[in-house]
Amino acid sequence: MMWFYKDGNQEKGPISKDELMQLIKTRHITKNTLIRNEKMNEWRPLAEMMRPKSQTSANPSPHREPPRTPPPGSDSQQGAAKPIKTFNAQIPFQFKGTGSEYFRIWIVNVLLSIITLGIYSAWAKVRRKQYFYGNTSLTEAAFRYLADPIKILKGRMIVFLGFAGYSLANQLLPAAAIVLSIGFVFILPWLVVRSLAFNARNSAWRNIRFNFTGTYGDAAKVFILWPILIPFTLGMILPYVYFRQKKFVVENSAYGSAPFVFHATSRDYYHIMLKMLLPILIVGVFAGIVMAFSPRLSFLAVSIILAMYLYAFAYFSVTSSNLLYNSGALLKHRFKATMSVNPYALIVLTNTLATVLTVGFFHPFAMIRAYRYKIHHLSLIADGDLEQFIAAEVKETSALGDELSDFMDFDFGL
Amino acid sequence: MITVEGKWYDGKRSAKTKVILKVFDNGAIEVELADTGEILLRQNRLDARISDRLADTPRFLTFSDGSILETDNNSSIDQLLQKMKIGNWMQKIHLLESKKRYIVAASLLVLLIGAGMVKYGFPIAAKAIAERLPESVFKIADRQTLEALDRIIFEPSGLSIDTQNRIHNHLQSVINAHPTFHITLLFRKGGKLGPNAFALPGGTIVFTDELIQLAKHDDELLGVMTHEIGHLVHQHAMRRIVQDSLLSFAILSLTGDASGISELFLSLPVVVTEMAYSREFEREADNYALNYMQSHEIPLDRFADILLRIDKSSKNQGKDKWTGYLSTHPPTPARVKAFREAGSQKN
Repeated sequence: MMWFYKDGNQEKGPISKDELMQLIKTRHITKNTLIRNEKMNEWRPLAEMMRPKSQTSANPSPHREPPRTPPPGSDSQQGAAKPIKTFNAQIPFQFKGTGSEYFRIWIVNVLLSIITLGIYSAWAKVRRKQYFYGNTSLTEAAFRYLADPIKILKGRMIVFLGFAGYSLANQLLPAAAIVLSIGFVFILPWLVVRSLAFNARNSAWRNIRFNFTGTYGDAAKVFILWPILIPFTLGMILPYVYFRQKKFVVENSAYGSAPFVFHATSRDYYHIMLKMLLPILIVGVFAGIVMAFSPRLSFLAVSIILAMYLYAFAYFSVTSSNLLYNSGALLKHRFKATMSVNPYALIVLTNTLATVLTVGFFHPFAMIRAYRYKIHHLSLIADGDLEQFIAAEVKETSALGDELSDFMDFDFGL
Repeated sequence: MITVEGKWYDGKRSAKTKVILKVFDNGAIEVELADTGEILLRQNRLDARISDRLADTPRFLTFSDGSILETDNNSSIDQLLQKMKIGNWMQKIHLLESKKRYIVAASLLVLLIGAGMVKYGFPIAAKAIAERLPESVFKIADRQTLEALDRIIFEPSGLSIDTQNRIHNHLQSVINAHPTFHITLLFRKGGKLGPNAFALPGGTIVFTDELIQLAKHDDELLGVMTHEIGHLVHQHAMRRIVQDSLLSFAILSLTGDASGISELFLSLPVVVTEMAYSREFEREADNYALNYMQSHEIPLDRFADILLRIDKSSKNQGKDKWTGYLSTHPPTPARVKAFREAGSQKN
């Protein structure tokens, strides 16, 4: 159980129960400090959260409310089977795709894309996404990817022509290429916004579409202005910038008319980065020394660095993804992600080795393995039923932004 | 009559309703609540968009008012489509995806096309592209490569001006024989690279001091020079740059959204294939040198001699572990043999 507390107007946490007890002991948290745990939806003063005096120590416990009557609707059936003792029902996300099934779709996608000189790749993308979405479900309702392949194809063609033009300009008029590169800085926020919007609006669950309403100006702030400062602060501000970007993405996303909220603080991201960088520094220096003194061992040193890189990658993916979901919420519903670093690192390692050894043919199995691990460690902590979401008016979006960001391997890490 | 159990979502709220779709033999349909049997919708003929079959993922029937019926019952939906004679080309795609023999055939085809591209497609494409690149690109490539090498590995040559001039003069004839390639000969201290020679795309050829010191006769250097000019004549450096980019691009698009980590490891097959390309280039350059030396009556043994000495010096430095598949050059004995045999045939 993770806890949060308010320091002035600032929300802090998540912290473990032990950390919380420590803060109470050191009087950083007093009986008037507002606290809550991940299952609570409102802040309470610490005093209210203490167990009666008969207990030996001050011990916060989940705030108890009288048990609710199960809300109407078929969703409550799971909850109704066992009387609701806990405040919230934890509903796991499910994934029933398999590697061998996806391999068939993937190989047909690859073959037809080659034969049609890339034209089929638009349909291939839709089929790939539909396979992953359609096999992912929550409360026995599947997710659905609705993008129109023709729109994707148009987007891809524009990106392709644009890139060809850019390469040509690069060859013939280096000056023009510089102008184009500067122009790209202004395109980037547009690209972010459009790509997120296209994906959100073409994703649906229970026949309600997701939405993204971030503006160009806000995107420019978090994807251009803040990053410009990174070199001047020797990278110290990097976790903060990363935090702002995640906050921008989550808080501008919505399911129907219900916006997502984001509880993480920049401190959480500094924590992740520090824990990741320290071992890298130590191992890096060690490997450097080994290489400097004994060139014969440099193969060993390179292996160590590769292993470290892999581990750091897994560590960052897992912790930042856990943080993202655990601090995200939709109305009063929260998410719970419980991925761990070691199993995920093992999956990434075996996936890459197998993909390399099979000249790429393991790729579809690898995708399924990694995705399944993520989905099986994700659940929704529903506060009441999930029947009340209301659809929002959603505008149609062109696929151009999404295709451009796909092309440039732009990853929003969601 | 076909009956399909499913869930009904009206598209305005996320509420879920369990329903049963009944399709009567005359084509009329009814959607009724699973619990009470109350009729939600009645049509004389099914008027809904039916999503394409994709493995065993749920199907969605979208009605004109925006409500959908979601069902896992793929076989009933397929039966329904068959009965109503609705079809599109996507059904053929599903057929491809679901039959084992098609999958085996597709895998073999992809493997074949991939191998064909790597073996023949990319080299041919790279050659065509390299030939069409403007002169300025080669110049820029030379300048940038040399700057980078100077910064990282090379040090200024320690050879005396006299030695440099002597070698220049000795090689002048072969340089003059290739006026269109803008050949510039440079000397650098090779450091870690040891005795070596490089041909950059735009005509710059670099000899390391160590190579000069290893040579026992200036004709040996002439042999090396013709080998390097062979690289220039066949545009190996530029073709290699283009080939490598094509290869990386192909691997990336095959594996789709590769995450950072797999990109790192996927560079391994790229490197191995690059080395195979590289050995092919070395053979071409050797052939060029062989022909040139023969037609200009330079003893072929000179080139064989220095190859052996280079090989020996790198073995002494313990660099011989990565021969064969992981080498950029064909094995030295084979190269030496080719020159010795051609030389003895002539005598």
